[in-house]
Amino acid sequence: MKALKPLRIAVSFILTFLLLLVFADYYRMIPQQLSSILTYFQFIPSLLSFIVTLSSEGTGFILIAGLTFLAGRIYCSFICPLGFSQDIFIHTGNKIRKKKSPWYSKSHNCLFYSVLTISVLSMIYSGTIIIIWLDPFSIFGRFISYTVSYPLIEINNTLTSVLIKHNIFAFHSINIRPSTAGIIFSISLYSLIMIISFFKGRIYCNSICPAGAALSLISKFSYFRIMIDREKCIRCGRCEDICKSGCIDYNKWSVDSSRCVSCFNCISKCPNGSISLSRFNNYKSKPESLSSNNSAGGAEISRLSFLSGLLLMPGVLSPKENNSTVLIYQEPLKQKHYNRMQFSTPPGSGSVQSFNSRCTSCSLCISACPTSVLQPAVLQYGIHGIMQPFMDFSSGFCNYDCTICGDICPTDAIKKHSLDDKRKIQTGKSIFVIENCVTYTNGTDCGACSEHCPTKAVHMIPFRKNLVIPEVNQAICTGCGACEYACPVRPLKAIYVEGNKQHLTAKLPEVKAKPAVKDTDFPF
Amino acid sequence: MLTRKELIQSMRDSLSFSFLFLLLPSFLRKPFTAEAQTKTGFDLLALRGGNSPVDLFKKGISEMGGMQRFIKKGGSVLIKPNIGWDRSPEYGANTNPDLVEAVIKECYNSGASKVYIFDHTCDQWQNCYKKSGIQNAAARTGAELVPASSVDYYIRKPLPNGKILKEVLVHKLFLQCDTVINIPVLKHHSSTGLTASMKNLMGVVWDRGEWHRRDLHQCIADFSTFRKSDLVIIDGWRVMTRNGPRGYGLSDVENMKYLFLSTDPVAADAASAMVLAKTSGLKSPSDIRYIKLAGEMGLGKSDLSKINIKRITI
Repeated sequence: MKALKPLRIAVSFILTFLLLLVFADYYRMIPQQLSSILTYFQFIPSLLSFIVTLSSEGTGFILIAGLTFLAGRIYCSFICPLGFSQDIFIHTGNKIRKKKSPWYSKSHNCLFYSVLTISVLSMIYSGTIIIIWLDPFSIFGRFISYTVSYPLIEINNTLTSVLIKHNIFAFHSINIRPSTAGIIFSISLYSLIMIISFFKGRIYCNSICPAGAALSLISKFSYFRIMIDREKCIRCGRCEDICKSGCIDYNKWSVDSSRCVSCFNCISKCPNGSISLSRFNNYKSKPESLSSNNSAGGAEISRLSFLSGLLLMPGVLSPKENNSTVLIYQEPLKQKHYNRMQFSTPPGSGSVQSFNSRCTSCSLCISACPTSVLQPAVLQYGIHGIMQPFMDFSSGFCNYDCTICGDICPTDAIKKHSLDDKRKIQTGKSIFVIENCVTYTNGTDCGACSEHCPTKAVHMIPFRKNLVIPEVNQAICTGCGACEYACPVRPLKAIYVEGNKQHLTAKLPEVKAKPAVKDTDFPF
Repeated sequence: MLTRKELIQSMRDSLSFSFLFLLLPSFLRKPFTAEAQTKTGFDLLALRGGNSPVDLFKKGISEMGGMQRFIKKGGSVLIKPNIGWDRSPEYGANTNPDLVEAVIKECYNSGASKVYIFDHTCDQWQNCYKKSGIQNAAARTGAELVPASSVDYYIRKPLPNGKILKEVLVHKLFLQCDTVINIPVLKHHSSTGLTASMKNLMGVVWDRGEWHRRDLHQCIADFSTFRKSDLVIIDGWRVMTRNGPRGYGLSDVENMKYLFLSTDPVAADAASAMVLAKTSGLKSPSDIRYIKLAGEMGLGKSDLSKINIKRITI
């Protein structure tokens, strides 16, 4: 029985470490299957994925629910990466504070289930707008993708540049600069939760987290629970001191199984083995009568929690930071101005609206995107899709032969597509602004846009004397943004991609008949 | 205090001095081209036919007087293929990996101590290196495939003979290696008409956008004044005759079985242009403006009638 705690630490450490590698895998050394396996067991992503696809890929949450019914909130201590992160801080807090205060605290069920209700209702009516802020997997993922990666990338790049000076080319720099908004957003949310855990234990898990709330509803009826043997117990109170959920009241031999996160610290701490994970029966310990949910206060608290959520926001509302050196190659006033009406969502996301309502901003695709065209949105989608990926054609373009974002998306907000199908998805359309084009303004050839175009939707046509200038065939354009990325004009580009609100099917380019070539001898 | 006479005198001196300075590079160039001619007796070796580009290369390099001619014993070699696109070899968007492999082997057999390969790619570089087959070719032969994906690899250098381009960020290996072998693939190109040897050197500089912004053709010619490749090998085995440089489908590719070897990049490009002329409206190499400009700048022979070509059909 005492082995349960070391087992929990080992499992959660390994799983969290692997997730960390997946989220910070900028060398692309980790096989995709690993991230699929890891995300399969993440409760909220798996649940959302099941709602979207109704396929076996999103059934991980059923396993988690079953496990919870069997033995309590195993997920919260064994699998949840944010839970493991909090455990580190709780442990440190306990070490620093010599004198441990009694942890037992009242439940915050009212708040807990109100947040769950709001999350579910908002999910039904407008999608993931609340979940983005609360899903523990996504909070953890963003923290790794933006905040932890940042120093790692900096170290790697510094090391690489030193080695390059000595002609050692074994490493390469990573040209990804985590967005400032991403760092601010992720670090503030993550550190807030960590600070709370440092002082108060698993409060987040037991009063806010919607995954925790959903599982706590199940764990009230768990078959195996933490039980205190009244006859053996010597009432030393150590279990209550060590309980990070504050759910043990040793005076009453009661353990609130709905709040217990199955860390098994109490089992290890108990001096005479009177605490065990065993079949629930009324004799050993009668659980406290479940506090009835105050439904009258629910609405009030829901509003409060919503407002407190909003209070967190100003930190990220600052507009996306431009590159520190704004490149200007044309007179800004002489350029033709245009406004992009819609930013593109990743290929496979169906439509902007459905994507915004399904993505939890976990940032896994942003970390995995090989061309780093996927960047976290600040207000590109409005208030709805904060930190959700959008296609940022200033940092890259979508590779015609790549399906990674759809393959790894844990919530299936970006659906899986075969390469052939993905190539036909039109996420947006190129729009050519001739007034800004080098060929038009300078009278010299350029054509960088057409060079990069994978379907030749952007092709060159004769212009003035001996010049060529691009023309766009929107029917076969996929909206990959290669043209916009390659266009050398600044500050505004001469070609840009207008996102499709509803993704369309791009026509395949017409393959013209081969001109007959008489190739019998040298042409000179 | 200068008198007016002295001022005029000094101006005349400095003018004549600068005039001499301008002439200097072309004086220096002459002996080199003369030497190349005397060694082989031709400006350009054009081969066609055979079962693979490797056959053509083996025949060609011996006709050129062997790889030893271009490689210093124990020296380092940079092989610069075109690896610009995330496309497999059959699309003809990148240099044929079998040819690259054969060239690497030949370099090592001729006494090279180290062979480097890189390209500043257009698509994501790791994908390009892998899908082109060149990563495997390098791994099999022991050449080092180096990234060119961040500005750390590049060194700023002046380009005194450039007309528009006065400064470039050049990959350090292009500066350091004792021998540079330029092995482009012959392709149609949407904006310049043709990409072969001179255009392939865009892959050793960092800021290509600048070239596009400021007269692409002139910049290509300007950069050819920087460091002449010691040997140009043009892969015309599979030729992308339209929709270049990336290409769309296999129908854009023609199996033409050419290989050109030369020490004169302008002559090699001029011959390449005529291969494309079979399928496009091109009439003469000087229809490609950068070839015409490079010829005018004295970087090589652009006039086909003046190029001494040795033709071999296998």
